[in-house]
Amino acid sequence: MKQRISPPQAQQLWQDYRTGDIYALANLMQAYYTDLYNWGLRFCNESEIVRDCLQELFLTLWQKQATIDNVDDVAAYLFKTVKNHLLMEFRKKSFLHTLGLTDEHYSLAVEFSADFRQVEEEHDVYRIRQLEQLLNQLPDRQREIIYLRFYQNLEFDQIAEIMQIGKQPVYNLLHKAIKHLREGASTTLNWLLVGWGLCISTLF
Amino acid sequence: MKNFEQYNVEDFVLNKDFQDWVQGNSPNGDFWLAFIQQHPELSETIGLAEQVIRAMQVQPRAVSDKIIREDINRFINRALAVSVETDQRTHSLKSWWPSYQVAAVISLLGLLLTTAWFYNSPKVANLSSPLSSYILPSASPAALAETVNSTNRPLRLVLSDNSLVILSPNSSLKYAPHFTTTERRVYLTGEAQFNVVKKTIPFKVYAGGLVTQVLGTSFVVRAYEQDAKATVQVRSGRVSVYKMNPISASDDALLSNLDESAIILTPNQMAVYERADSRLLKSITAEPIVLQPEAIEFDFTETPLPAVLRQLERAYGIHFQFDEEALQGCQITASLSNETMYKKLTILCKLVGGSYEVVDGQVIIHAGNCR
Repeated sequence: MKQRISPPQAQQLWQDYRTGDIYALANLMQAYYTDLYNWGLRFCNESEIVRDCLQELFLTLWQKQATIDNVDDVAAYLFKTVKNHLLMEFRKKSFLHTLGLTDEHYSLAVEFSADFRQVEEEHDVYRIRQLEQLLNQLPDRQREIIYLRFYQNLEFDQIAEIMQIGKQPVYNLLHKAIKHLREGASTTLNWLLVGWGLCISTLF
Repeated sequence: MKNFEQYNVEDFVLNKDFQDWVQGNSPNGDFWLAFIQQHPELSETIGLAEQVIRAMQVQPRAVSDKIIREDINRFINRALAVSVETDQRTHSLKSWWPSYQVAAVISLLGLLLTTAWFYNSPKVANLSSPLSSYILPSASPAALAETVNSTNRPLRLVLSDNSLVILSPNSSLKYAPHFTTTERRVYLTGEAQFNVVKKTIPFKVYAGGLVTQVLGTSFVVRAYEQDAKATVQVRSGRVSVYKMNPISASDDALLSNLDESAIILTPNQMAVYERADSRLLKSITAEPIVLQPEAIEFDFTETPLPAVLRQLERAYGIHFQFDEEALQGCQITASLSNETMYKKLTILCKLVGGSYEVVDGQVIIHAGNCR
């Protein structure tokens, strides 16, 4: 499992950074680097661009050390900033901004691929594959929430801040997504059971 | 306790603890195993919830530690080069001894970082810098890296032998990016604490006309150019200090120098070099630390003074000279746990009407009479 620093540790580093400690900021950068890098790749699949983005972001933070405010949640703040930064870069280079497209119009590259390490039964594998397919067909915002919640292990408050929506909509969207998965999976499972039923009945 | 019996698939999937358990990070693993055994009717629900969570994973795009180190070095180097907005605030100059909290966080997270920073960032030393000419031996070493701490915080450096240097503000250190197999040599202006990794190859610090030589230990060298004195304080291990020979600074000359006038320092001792008259003296640090805190008891009840002094001797690792016979009659009843060593000595001397002085790194007690 990822070694992430605790929120109080992150908060302490943030305070140190604000008093001019560059190593505190470098430590924050190091602590979140893998997570932010993976997050950045959701918006831009070019490793170099994401790395440059992280450089710019932390340099900007360093330059703003004297004036920057306290943040409630350092991790959420960094995730949000990475996202905004990349979307802004993206928009600068595209014609989309001339069409008046806003923040809500962006695509998110998340390809879910199940963790099969503890799955042994054949029919479990089959069902998880089904779920994977259903997941990858979900709308972008729902996949974004699922990614943040189940891959990045963030809290609802943090996800709400990163996505700039309320906590309740986050919860509702996630609930809706899981319901969709459950229903889809039950259907396929029923078909499986019917199939087995037929097999068994032909045996007798 | 939540009403898990009523949970449906969505509820289980959304439950953080359940999620952690499926992903193998829960401290309550036993709880969920027991719950599933007690509720066979929920096995289908829980099974599906578990599968949903398993399906929700994303293949991580690995970023190697090497890349992370590189990127963080790149950031530090660029950040140190840029100016900071409204950097006019006055920073209270903290005691250069870093607060342990900060140090702990840094060493926990930043060890790789400082190592990498060292490996990747050395600039070739600018040999025309205003270092006094004798500080760099005439046999000018191959390209040295130089680190200048122009921040107002202590700066941690890890050298190629893994020795740690904490460079104080307004100080600079020159060093070989990779030490040779015959010596580990660094040049300091200003102040730094060294935690030298023990090796058979000597580690030498050239600073302010002094050479401090060790095999492995922890010590502080202070040699700011504007100061009249250069000092070396020892925290652990053994350190030898000798004057640099300004005329010939070849290694042979240094070695012969070492034989003649080197002084050996042990913990809590310090060397003071008066630049004006080139005198090198041995003394005791301003605030000796207790070296073996666990073994020392400073509460005395009618204890003869010599026993008290021997106790202090062991605690601080400093030699005390006193007339055992004359002091045997002095009975001490006192609790001296919180005072500094000097304060302890002052109190003891007051109790027996004596005095003490520090000579050559030792404490000499001139006692009154106790009858």
